[in-house]
Amino acid sequence: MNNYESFFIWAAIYTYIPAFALLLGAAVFRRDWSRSGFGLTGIAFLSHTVSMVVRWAAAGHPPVQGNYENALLGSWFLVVIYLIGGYKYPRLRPAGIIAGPLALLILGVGLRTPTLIEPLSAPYQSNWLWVHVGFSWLAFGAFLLAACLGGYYFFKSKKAPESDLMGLEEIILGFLLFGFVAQAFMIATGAVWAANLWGRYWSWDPIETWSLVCWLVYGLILHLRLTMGWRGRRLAALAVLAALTVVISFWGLGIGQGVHTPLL
Amino acid sequence: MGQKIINLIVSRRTAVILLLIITFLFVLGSLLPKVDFLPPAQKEVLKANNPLLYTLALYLSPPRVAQNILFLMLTGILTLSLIFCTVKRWSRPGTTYYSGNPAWQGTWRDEAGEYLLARLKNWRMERQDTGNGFILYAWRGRIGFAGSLLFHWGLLLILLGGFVTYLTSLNGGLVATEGQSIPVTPENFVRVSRLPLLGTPDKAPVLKVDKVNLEMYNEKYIRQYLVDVSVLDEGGRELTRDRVLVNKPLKYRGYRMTLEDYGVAPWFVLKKLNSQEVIFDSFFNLRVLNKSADNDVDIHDSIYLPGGNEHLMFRFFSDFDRRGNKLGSRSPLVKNPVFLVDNGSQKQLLAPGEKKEIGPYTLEFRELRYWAYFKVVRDPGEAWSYIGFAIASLGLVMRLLDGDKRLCLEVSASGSEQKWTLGGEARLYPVLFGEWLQETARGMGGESVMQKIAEDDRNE
Repeated sequence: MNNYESFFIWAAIYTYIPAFALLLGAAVFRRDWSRSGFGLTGIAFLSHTVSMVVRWAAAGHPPVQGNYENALLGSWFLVVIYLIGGYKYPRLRPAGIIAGPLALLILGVGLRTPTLIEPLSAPYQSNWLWVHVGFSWLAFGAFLLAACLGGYYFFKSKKAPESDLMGLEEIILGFLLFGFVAQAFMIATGAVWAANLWGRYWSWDPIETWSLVCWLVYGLILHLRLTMGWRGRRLAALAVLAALTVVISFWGLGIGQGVHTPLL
Repeated sequence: MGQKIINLIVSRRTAVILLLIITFLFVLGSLLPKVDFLPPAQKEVLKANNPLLYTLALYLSPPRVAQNILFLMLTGILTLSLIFCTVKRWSRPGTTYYSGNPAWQGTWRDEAGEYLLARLKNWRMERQDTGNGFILYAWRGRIGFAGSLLFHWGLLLILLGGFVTYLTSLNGGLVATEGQSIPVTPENFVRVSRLPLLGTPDKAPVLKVDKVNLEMYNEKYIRQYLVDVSVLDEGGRELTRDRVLVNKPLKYRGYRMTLEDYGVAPWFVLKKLNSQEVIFDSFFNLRVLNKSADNDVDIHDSIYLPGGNEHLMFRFFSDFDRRGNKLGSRSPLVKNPVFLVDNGSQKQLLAPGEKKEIGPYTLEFRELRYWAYFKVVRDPGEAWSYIGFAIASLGLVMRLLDGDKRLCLEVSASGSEQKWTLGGEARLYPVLFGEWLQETARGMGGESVMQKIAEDDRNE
């Protein structure tokens, strides 16, 4: 990590914190601070973006290699989905009280690992990488944000009017659907890439299996919601619980032997 | 009875339960040891120490579960169930209105109509004239249902592709040293993962590795592995040539050969010092045992000598460097290749062309080449799965982009003017659609029927 990158990523972190504090304050003290908190999140996001661009320029490739780069990109996708969603539906802005710390947690875990800039290794030199990684972060970002909104649903469920809660539930459903589609594309593009890299489009290694499990779990939730009418608190709880499969998929490399580990 | 079984298969509850069972099986399997990825020795240890766990892992690991006929039947029933569920929901649009959201009403003016039509861009519409006005039905999102259907057909094709793969695919590993020609047949594979159960290819190509090269970043990091190969016919005539890279396999008549590994292959001649009896005279493919984070490559391997008690240990330095007693390599590039040979009591350094005595033997290092390991796959089911992926993905996009919504506008004469009533419903997002309707109705200058009733009640 060079000095510019370091400056911008720490500036982003130190801006995400007061943004989160404002959003939390708005929820706890019932003050109109969520607009300011959302705006400050946007400023932190700009700094986050600049740090990524600086790293991209220094490394000569997008940040997709290693734990730190994945954390940098993963938290970026989480925030960008939150910002777009919050811009379109202002009612989901307070969900930043969960999405903010989650993004900080992902960044923090990444910063504890080596941040050395390295050239892109041979297995990563594929155009399918960008498509595959892009869709995976879109899916994970959408699922994590759905989980944040699920948590926020419980937070609001005692005091908010029914119509507000129903609207919030529909936004959760929207994120779940979007994540499900993105995850499908992630699996499909990963299969095409794997065929060229490892010879087979599906090898049942732990990462692949858990991506499929994650997708099936979200497919199950969508069926429960759309065809069996599971709504409200039940859907919110499922959105929160299903995020566990995302966490296992992301940190699933350590689960066991498989083709994702011994790249050439 | 038959009808009951069909009803059970096509019910939504069955679909959800089947999905739950399949997910549970994969979760369980992923937590068990991956016997298919374990080295043979570790597999034997697990079998001896924990036979129950080994048996469970053998039958419940995801690849085994997925190939089980019972699982295939479960998935087949699930797919049938989902398709029937989707088809059952296919109903005629535009016949219900007002039901999902409270209606809005106002006085009809041309501007209100223009505003509504601008909001209904890309909606399908149907107008029915009544005696004293008209009813306009508008809907969109029907394509979403088609998307759902396509998605499930795509899944069916993926499963079909998987089944064809199971029956007909060939999967193995082939090692070839530079200059070596080797027929791509299972007899020559160093590892056979799968042999076709049906149909074997009539003519297998012959693969020749011409040259292995490494492309470097700053002479420190390996950027890419480049292997020039030729495909020959049985008579040794060249049919095609290509450069294989990581991520760019050789594709030839249904065969795909993916570069998986590489290493160095020294040609050693080992003779007894007294009798000059030749013990070993061949290329020797050394294993790459360890690649550390800083890209140091540790290559070593052994030859067991006659009798089996003694062995020679070879350690390879690609770009030999000696600092005092410390031996090392400056880069992974083969610039100054040297072997350290150790028989347990004596060590010798050996460069290409050198011959040295080690114990009761002479060892000659004649030449150094590279070897390359290719994963060889021939899979007629793959195309089916890709088509399935494409169709399922297209279906999902259609489903995502097109939420099912319906709207109804009723215009009728009321005294000297015309009144309109607007309502609608949405399958996925009724509340958000209600907000959109509210915005539309306000733009048309209308008011909520419910509010109007409440106001009238208050006035009374």
